Amino acid sequence: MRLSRALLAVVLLSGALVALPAPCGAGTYKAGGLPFIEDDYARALAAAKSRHVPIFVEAWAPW
Amino acid sequence: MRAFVFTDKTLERRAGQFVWLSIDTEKPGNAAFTRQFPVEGLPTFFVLDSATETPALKWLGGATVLQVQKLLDDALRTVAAGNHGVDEILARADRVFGEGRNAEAARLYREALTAAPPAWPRYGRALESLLYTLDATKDAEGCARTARDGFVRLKSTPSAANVAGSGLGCALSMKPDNPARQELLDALRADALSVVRSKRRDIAADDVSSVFQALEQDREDAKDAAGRRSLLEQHASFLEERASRARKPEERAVFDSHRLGAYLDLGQPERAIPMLQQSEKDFPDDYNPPARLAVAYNAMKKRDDAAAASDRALAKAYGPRRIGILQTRADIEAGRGDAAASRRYLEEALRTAEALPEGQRSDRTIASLRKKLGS
Repeated sequence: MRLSRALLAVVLLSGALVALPAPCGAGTYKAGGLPFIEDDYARALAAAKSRHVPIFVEAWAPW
Repeated sequence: MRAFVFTDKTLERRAGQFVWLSIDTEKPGNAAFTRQFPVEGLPTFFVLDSATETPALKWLGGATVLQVQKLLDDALRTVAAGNHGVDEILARADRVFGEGRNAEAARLYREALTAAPPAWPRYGRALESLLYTLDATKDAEGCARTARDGFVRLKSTPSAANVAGSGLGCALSMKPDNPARQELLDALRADALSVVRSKRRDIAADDVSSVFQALEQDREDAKDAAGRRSLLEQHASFLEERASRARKPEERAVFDSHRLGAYLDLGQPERAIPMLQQSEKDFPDDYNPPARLAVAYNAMKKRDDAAAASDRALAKAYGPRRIGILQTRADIEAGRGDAAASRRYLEEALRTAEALPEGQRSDRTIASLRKKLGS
């Protein structure tokens, strides 16, 4: 988790997850059994508030 | 993570416990999110308490399925206010870390580790987060000492790679005249070598690759060209072996960027061409394979192939990544001897960098581009 050198590696490799999501509706993809909302914090927040559950966020880049 | 971790069957039972959100930090529409929740490296994972919109936990870097399971358990406990004693201190540390307050987080992680009982199950996670916050706050010696001392306890756990790699990187960042530097370097180099030689399967491949990079940097700093080359060969072999075991194209392509880096450092960019051509075929909408092909071809001095790959990448690229692709293109044009074209691409890179929204815009990148342009 090093910021300068090793983190570059983290960025390069983990960010390189070019896996194309399996579509399961507009703005959503499924990673295995996990239904990820894509790029819509407001929608995720509203859903989480209504279900009284936390939000798990994966911040990534398609590098 | 997408290719190897989130698809794991054992995580399916977690689906209803959270709302799952994916944020592409390159997209302009996500700049407001990254302003609210600072993202200092990728990937970064947050668990947010939806009632308060505050971070309950933040984790930077890759993780195994087992580590993700533990993160989720810890986060649920924090959101339910179910922590006491040392776990409550850790929860406070996680919260301020999530808010980007690294110095305060470092103090709280230290407090938690000092108060922790001998068999505290969250020791590894707390120590890894402490190392990150120490590095981020430029306490290189504190980071190296913490890593050296922590490795003894964590050497048989999945945290071993991050601890050794981060610690070695921190030791390399210490001032050369620091009398403690050599001793810490020697200890952490030995720890890091033990990780890459262990061939353990319980450590994430990207973590092991990061340890290789720290070791290669160590040999470069020591001006040991033969030792560095030997490590680069081992590094490339490690990545190739992991890629060869991929069951799906995305599992193989995960390794493309590190493999390209190792091949470039070895002076063998041609080794990257077949894998990148395959990735471009497998992921026709992804700008990364052609962007990497442009880099590899340029290193091979095949400027026309590099420019063609760059055109394909630029047709798909967006966000901050586009800046790097434009800079590579400027290098390609410079290699062709076309200084005017090279400058035009640099100017476009600068305009792109300046137009990014706050949260994505980097003052350092803008300053670097201005310097290159002499403006």
